[in-house]
This record gives sequence, C-alpha cells and structure tokens, in this order.
Amino acid sequence: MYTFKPILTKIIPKMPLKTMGVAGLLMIITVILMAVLANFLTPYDPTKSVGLSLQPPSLNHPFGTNKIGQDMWSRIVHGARTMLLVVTLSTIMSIVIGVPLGLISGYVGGILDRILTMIMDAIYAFPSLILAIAIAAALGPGIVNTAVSIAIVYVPTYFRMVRGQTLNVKSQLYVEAAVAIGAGPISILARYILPNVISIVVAVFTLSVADVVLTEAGLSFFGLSVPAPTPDWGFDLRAGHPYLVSGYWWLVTFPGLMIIILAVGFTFLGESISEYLGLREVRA
Amino acid sequence: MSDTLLEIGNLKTYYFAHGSVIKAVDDVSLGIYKREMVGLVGESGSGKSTLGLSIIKLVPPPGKIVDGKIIIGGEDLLKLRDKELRRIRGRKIGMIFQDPLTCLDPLRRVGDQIIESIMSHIKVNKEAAREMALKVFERVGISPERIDDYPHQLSGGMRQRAMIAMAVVLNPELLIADEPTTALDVVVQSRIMDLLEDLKNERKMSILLITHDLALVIERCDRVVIMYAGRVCEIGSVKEVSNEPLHPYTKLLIESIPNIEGTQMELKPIPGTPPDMRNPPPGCRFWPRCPYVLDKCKSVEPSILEIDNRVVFCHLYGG
Amino acid sequence: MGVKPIVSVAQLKKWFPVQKSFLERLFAREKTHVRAVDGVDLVVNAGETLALVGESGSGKTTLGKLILRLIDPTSGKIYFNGKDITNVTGESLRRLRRRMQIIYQDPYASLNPRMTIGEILEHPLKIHKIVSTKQEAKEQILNVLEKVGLTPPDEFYNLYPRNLSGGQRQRVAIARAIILKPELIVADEPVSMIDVSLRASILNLMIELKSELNLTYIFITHDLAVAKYIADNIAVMYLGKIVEKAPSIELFTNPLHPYTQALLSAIPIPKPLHERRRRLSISGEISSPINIPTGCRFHPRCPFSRERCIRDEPSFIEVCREHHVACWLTTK
Repeated sequence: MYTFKPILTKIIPKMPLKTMGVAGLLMIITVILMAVLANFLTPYDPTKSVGLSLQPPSLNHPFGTNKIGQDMWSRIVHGARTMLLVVTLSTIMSIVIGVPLGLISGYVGGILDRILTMIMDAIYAFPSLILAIAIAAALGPGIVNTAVSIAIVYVPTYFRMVRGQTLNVKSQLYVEAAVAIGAGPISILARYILPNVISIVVAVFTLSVADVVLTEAGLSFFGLSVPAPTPDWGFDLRAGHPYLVSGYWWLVTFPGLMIIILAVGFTFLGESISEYLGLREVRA
Repeated sequence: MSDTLLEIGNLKTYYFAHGSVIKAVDDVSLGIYKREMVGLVGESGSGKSTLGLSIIKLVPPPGKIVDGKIIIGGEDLLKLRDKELRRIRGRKIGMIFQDPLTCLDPLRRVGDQIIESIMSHIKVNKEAAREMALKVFERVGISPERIDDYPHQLSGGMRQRAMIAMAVVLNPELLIADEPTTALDVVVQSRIMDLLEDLKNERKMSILLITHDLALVIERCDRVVIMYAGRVCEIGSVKEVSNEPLHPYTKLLIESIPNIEGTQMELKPIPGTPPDMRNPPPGCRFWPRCPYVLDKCKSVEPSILEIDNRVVFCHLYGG
Repeated sequence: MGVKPIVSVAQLKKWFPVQKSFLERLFAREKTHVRAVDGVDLVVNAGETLALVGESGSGKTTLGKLILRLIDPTSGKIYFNGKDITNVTGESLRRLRRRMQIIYQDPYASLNPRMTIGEILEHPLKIHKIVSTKQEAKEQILNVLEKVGLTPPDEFYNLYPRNLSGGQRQRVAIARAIILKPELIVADEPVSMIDVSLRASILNLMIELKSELNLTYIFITHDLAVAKYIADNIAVMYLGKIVEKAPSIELFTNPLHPYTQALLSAIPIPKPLHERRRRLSISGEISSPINIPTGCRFHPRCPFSRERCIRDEPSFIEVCREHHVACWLTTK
C-alpha cells in the first residue's frame, strides 16, 4: 500500500489539525484550478511539439520542454485534468458498487454475505498497484478503462467499511424499533441504516483517495493508463527519468512534485476530516 | 469538629464545552464525619456524580474544578500535586462506580488488578499482596478461587463485589460509592448494601453514597444531602429530614416515593423538568417547579441557614 | 363485561445457542443453550395491565419480544386474539404489527437520530397506509404529540431526537407506539432510565392513554413499586419461568413464592432499616440460564428448600382465586 502517512507523521508530528486540513484543501484546490483553467493557463497544445527538445525552464517554457519538444508546463496543467478525471470516475464507480453491496451484505447476512466477503477479501489481499496493473493490461488504455481498473481495486475498501458499519447499526435499538412498527427491509435499509452509515463512506473516501492518486500515477508510469500523447503525470515521470542522469531534472521533478502535492493534499484533508469526525483510523 | 473526616468548602466544578459553561457543581459545601454513611441524593443534572469525582480529582475533561477546597487529614486535596494525590486515592479515599467495568480491566484477571493496586501503594511483595487480596475477596463474599477469573466470568453482583474489594483492601477512611447498585436488581442491591454497612462498621470507614434513590438513603444512611441543579438544598440526619423535610424539593421527592406498604397508592409527580444546566434559572434554581415559590426566589439565591444540626437553602425559612 | 384473552402463550420456550469453539462443542454435553424463556404459559385479557417482574436474566424482556414476534420462538405457541401467530412471517407479520406495539427502555437508543420527530411518527402511518396525504399525516402526528404532552406540537415536529431530553424522547416513543391505535402495547422498562421525579408523570400518561384508547399493557419492570402502581396483575419470573402470578394487591399482601417474598422485602422503604420489619434474605446469585438447576430452579437460593424441591419441578397451579404459584411449599 502506498501511503505517505508514516513518513509524514514523523516529519510533521505536531501539526495542528486545522492547519493540516486547510493546507490539504489548498493543495487540492490548486490542482483542481489547474485542471479547470488548463486552457487559459497555457498557450501551447500539450500534445504537440512546440519547442526545441530538452530545454531547461525559461520564460517561454516555465517548466522546460521534453525530448519531443512538448511544453512541460502545458503537460502538467493538462495532466491535472487527466488525473482528476480518472480519480473522480474511479471513486464514483467504487462507491456505486461497494456501498450498496456492503449494505446488503451486512444487512442480509447468511450465505450471500459470506460469498461476497470472500470475494472482496480476495481482491483486497492483492497489492493495489499490481492488481490494477493486471486489470488495466487486460482492459487496455483509455480514461474509462483506467478508471474501471482502479475502481475494482478499491471496491473492497468501501465494501468492508460499509458492511462493518451496517452490522453495527443493524444492532441498534432504533432499527429493531423500525421492525416493530412494521417497516420492510428496503425501508429499513434506506431510512434507518444508510443515513447512519454515510459518515463512514465520507471517511473512507477522504482517506483512500490519496491512494487512488498514487495508483493512477503508478499505472500511467507503466504506460497502462491513458494512451500517449494525452498528458499524464506518471507517464511523463517515466518518459523523463532516463534523462535524469544527464542532468535534465525538470522532466521528472515537476510531474513527481505534482503527484506528491495531490496525494499529500488529499491525505492532509482526509486525516483532518476524519479526526474532526472522531472516526478511528481507516486503513485504505 | 475533630469528628470531621472530610470537609468540602465552596466547591465549584464546571464543564466547558462548545462555548457554553455547565456549572455542574456550583458552590457546594458539606462535611462528612467519621464512621457515618452519608447519602448524596439528586437526579440527573444535579451534580452529584461530578461532586464525587471532584473529591478525588477525577473529573473528566472538559470539566474543571475552578474553586473551593477539599480538606482531609489537614491537607487540601485541590492543592496537591498528582503524585501526592495518587497516594491519597486508594489509600485514604476509595471509589466505586455504577459500572464495575470502569475500574476492572476486562483483559486482566481480577486478582492481578487488585495485587497491582496494593503493591503500587504500599511496600509489600507479591505473595503478601496476594494474601491481602484473598482475604478481602473472602470478606466481600467472593470465593477465593475466583481470584484468577476475568471480569466477564463473574456475575454482575460479583463484579460489584470485586470492585468493592479493590476499593477497600487498603482500609481507606472514606469510600465514595457512585450509584453502586443502580444497575442491580433489588435483592442483590440489598445484599451489597448489607456488605457496605458491615464494612463501614468493621473498618471504621465513612461512606458517601451517591444515588437518585431517596428511599435507599433513608433506609440505610445516617445523614442525607439533597442536591438540585448543582446546589445543595438541604442537609440533615435521615430521621429528621424524612420526618420533617424542610426544602420543598425534599418534600416533593419524599412524596414521590411509591408506597409499597399501603394498599392505596398515588404516585405524585414533581411538575416540570430539571433545568438546562447551561442556562439555569436565576435565583433559587428550583423556583420554576416549586409549589411555594415567592417573588424573592426568582431573583435572589437563598443563602445558607443552619437550624440545629440541619442546613437548608430556602427563602421560606428566611434564607 | 366479558373477559376475552388478547394474548395467550402455551409452553413457550426460547433457547439461544451459546457460541462455542469446535473443541468445546466436541466435549460439551447438553449445556449449550441459554434458556432465556423455558416453558411459559400465560393468558393476558383484553384491557388488562399485566406486569412482568423479575431480575435481569429472568427472561421477562425476551418473553415480551416473543409475544410481539420480534424474536422467533424455539418451541411453544403464541396466540393473538385467538389466532395462532407463532409462525407468521413476511407481509402478514408486518400487517399484524399494526395491532401490537412496543415502548423500549432506552429513550436515547430507540429513536433514529437521523429522522425528525415528525418523520419518526409519520413512518408507521405510511407503512400501514393509514393516511393518503401528507396533510392528513401531519394532522394525526400533531394530534398524537399533543396527547403525549409534547406541546406545542408543531415545534416538536421538526426537531431531532438529540434536541430533546430523555423524558421528552420517551414521550415520542410512546407517541410512536400509539399512533397506529394498537390493541396491545408491550412496555419494556419504560421508566427505568427516566429521572425519578419525572417517572410518575410518564406513568400517569400511560394510564390515561390506556383508558382513552382501550389498550392492553404488558409492562416489563424490575421495580415492584412501579408494578404495584400500574398493574392489575403481576407475574413474577425467575430463570425463564413464571413462578407466581396474582392480582397486584393480592401479591403484595399474600406473596406465596419465597422468591416473591424476598423481592418484596428487599425493596428499599423510606424508613430507617432498624425500624423495619424483618427481611427475608436469600443467598447467592441467580444461576446462569445455561445451567438451570434441577427440580425447582429456585432451590439453590431458597431458605425453605426440601428434598422434593431438588428433585421435581413444581407445576404452576392456581391456589386461590386468580393466584397461581409454582412451589412445593404451597402446592404439595
């Protein structure tokens, strides 16, 4: 599992919650703005060669150019779009699949629950990146395909947490009271269990989305994400790293930095939200 | 008085949360004499539990003791440092709670917990401590072989006894019992109360019994303190207070006790509800529910009035 | 006035399996069940208030929930208004619920924190299609809020349980129980978690509602004083069986079973102890419902137990008018 948490807590052990949350929020907003305003932030088309090859950062090209002559700044800014699209899509898919399954499995129990749990545990046991790679390789490139690969990897996380919370809520007295007034199972799930389970979905989301970012970066690093020439930070990382030895640092530094900023931003925000909500540590 | 064991003077314990202040204990003074059982009676919100916790400075945050003094053996507990307090807790003052699992670690054997507590207070080796533990277990009515059980292996009543054992093993001078029998049925309650009374007599110990059950206090205690919304209403011997209650709240409380022995029964409710402790009524806090309310009560807090050995805070008596 | 049974149960049992590891199961003998309710025969007449009294572990709550079919019985039969409801499930069970409701002990846990009071009270109406418009529903809800003393009702309509005190929440729970105009209400320790000074008003409310709405109550409590106040008849339970049943006044003036006698004498009375009458004290603790004693299940603690008590389980017999007891002392 790729998380920066162990390192971060050692570096910034006493950072107050609010500061952390705000810092994280700022980082995320920066990236979002980049993505939304991409076209306004740069005059160049990130997929076309617009300059001389391997130029260091300059006024014309604030982040330099890569081997093919593409402007790195444009690629970074448009890469934010790619990243955020994949992250959003895959998260939505994970939630839409994982949450209802967790609810039903937890509420109904029995054989259905055992089978689903077994399947989910099996998926969960795989290291996320390796599983994502395997699925992405099978599905082929593309934003939707990439999102699907990542979504599958994180469905078990939502499933387990929602199932656990459902089991918890199911044993509450007000749920038995609902049975006593004659409510049917659908009504109970929708009005009594789901509203009391939602907060955990928020918690899982805030803490696992950083992981999703890193998984996407990992996939694109291996070229399994979106097809070139679509700008993608992980892809640029790999494209640029052979040149690092020769001193072309800007090819690697900026994509890498962006990945870190987004992941750390989500982590900060996630940690501070879940502390604020008083939830125990959720392992994504 | 040389007979006084513990003296609480003008104690104020407040809870600070979400921008508001809950004055859980608001200027309470009372004394506990040696070898007596005092009942501290009040309903939820009265501050009785907070008072008990304040005596041994175990008020959980966001609560804080903001003023007052608590004097035992010549020392003001509120001025002591943590290290010195720990010496007092367990040795001079013991405490038991409604839920034994607040003192008993479910993951450790009960015997080990008592032994550890003993050894942290006095210099004895493990065997001697175990001897003491076995003896006190027997005294409270748990068969000695259960000393190696885990709390979940004991029944509710026995867990309560184990907690009592842990609290009295070092012969404290004062035992604070916070709703010790509320969760138990009436038969077990009666036997636990018998045990506490016996211990009090044998070990020359005083007991502060914190409860909402006035009938229990009248039945078992020597003196009673009635609290309402953070303040004291009345203090006196159980005999006097039950025969002739002075404070209107005391009167209503006594009248609301269901009468088992007669054939005719009428439950008399006390009208109204306890106040919101973030915003208690001005003057005497009981005035919105008091059948004898005077104009003065709505704005002026009654001050202390001592009549013989009794204390009452009520304008009806010129307070 | 004809007396008609509204609920009757015959030889009702509920045994809960105890979780045991594989090895424990290999070597265990029969003692692998918690016998919460272990053979109860009971008849409750329409319009009656029956108190089920006992300590924790006596099975009184389980019995109450069995009657409401919130739990499935292990064996025995349950009848409601003459109809066998022992195995009713699904839609018929849900429809049946309209006529029998429950009030729980814990006013904090029995209300959904995410629904407003209005929504909590509207839901039963919607389920059973009692009203067809939201307006009608609101009318009925405001009406019932008024009945339980939560006034002004429109203020409470939009509040959440967390905005209410314990006593107010319990009134909402009562409102929820009566809004469907049921015939039977099982009240499980409804005032145990309420402040002493507020209990009487809740109990008085329940008594008022009973006559206004023609209800039958099964009132579960460990507090005999409350039972005496509110009940017509009292059934005393011990370790899963009813050991004595009599009209309230009769039970208090002439308790026959030693357990009942001990319970009565242990109730705190506001008179200093040394002035009181002698108490009947019983030793030990209630046995575990996994390991029920042989013969009369009370014999290990009974000060009067004899050889027969250890051997044979006494039958539940009517010894004088309406007064039943299961004890060899009385019934030979």
